[in-house]
Amino acid sequence: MKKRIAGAALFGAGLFFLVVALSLGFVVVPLLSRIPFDLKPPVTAVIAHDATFVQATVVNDVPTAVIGHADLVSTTGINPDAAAAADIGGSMKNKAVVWNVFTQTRRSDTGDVISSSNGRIAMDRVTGAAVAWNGECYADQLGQACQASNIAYSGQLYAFPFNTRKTTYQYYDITLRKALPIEYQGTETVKGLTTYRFTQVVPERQLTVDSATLDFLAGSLAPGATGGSMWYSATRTVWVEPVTGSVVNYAEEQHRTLRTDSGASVVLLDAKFQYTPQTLTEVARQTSDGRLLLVGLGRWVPVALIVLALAALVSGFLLTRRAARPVPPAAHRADEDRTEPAPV
Amino acid sequence: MKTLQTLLVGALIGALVAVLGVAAVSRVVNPSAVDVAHRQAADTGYDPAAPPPFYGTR
Repeated sequence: MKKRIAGAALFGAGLFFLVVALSLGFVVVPLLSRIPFDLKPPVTAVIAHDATFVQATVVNDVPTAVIGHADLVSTTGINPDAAAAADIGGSMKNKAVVWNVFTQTRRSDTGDVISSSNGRIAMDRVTGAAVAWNGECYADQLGQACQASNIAYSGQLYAFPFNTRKTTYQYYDITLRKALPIEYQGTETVKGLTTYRFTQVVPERQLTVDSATLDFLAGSLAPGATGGSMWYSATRTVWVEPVTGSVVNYAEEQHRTLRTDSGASVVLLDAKFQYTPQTLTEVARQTSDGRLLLVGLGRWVPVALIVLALAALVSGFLLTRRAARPVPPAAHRADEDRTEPAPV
Repeated sequence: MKTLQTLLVGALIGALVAVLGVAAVSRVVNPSAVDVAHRQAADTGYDPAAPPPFYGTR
């Protein structure tokens, strides 16, 4: 009786392990492969050494613009907003996260702020791509409020899909306000992590800029000019850890030129940004932790559980069968006929 | 026949416990946005609209 119960328990444990193993692979890990509503990514910083840039300043009480040359550090912090995400209904209910994003660029020698921006974006929790939402906003002008629906994000921006593929994605260019292709270029190792390298090339094109800004820049930077046009080009490279979709390294070359009506051409921005060593280390560490969790629970733990399950199922089956087998009558006769040894 | 019945009972209990366990774990690892928002609201120090410390004034 005891053997039968033990066998049944072992068999049940085997099935338990089997169901848990399959559930980990097909239920739990897919649920974990979503951006948590309260995930707060690390503060990231990119640095551009010896950059050329425009700096607004005041000379003799007159606002003007000057060209600066120094290292630039651009820092980005993200606050997850679960309450805003909870307001997203319809087909995206519980499928999108909302991030408030704050970015500030300073020259590293003086600490002067060169530019600031803040935005709000809703992203699909699985693909990392921006989703249509009327609460999205972006503000990068002095005193400008982040007004809902003043921007429509699309494509990838801060994250790539879980299980990123070697293909071409759309990546949002905040300057152009639209997504452009970013192509898979190859596989590289970054801080011990296998990553997919994607590159986006934005050929030089004219930007739509209000005439007041153009006139101000032309008047400040090109004596004799009264207006002009602004031109922009960029090349971005991102290194994505494919299991988590995290951007573990980032590099961007950006170039802006003012072509004045006097024929002069002024470089407004010439910078090559890349993650600082501290950011690279921190992002790689967090990504490594996330990858280990997903690969461990999705691959190694299920394999171990299946081995355990098979052993328990077979053991349980054999034990139960042996317990149910009737005892041969010959054994009883042998016991009954056994004679006690005579006392000495 | 008795062997089969015994194994079946064990299997049913094992599978049932596993399914209940997985369901419980699934709820824990995948809370709704409302649940997370309530938890964040309870944390009085957290304001998602507040800029991070590095974000000074211009």
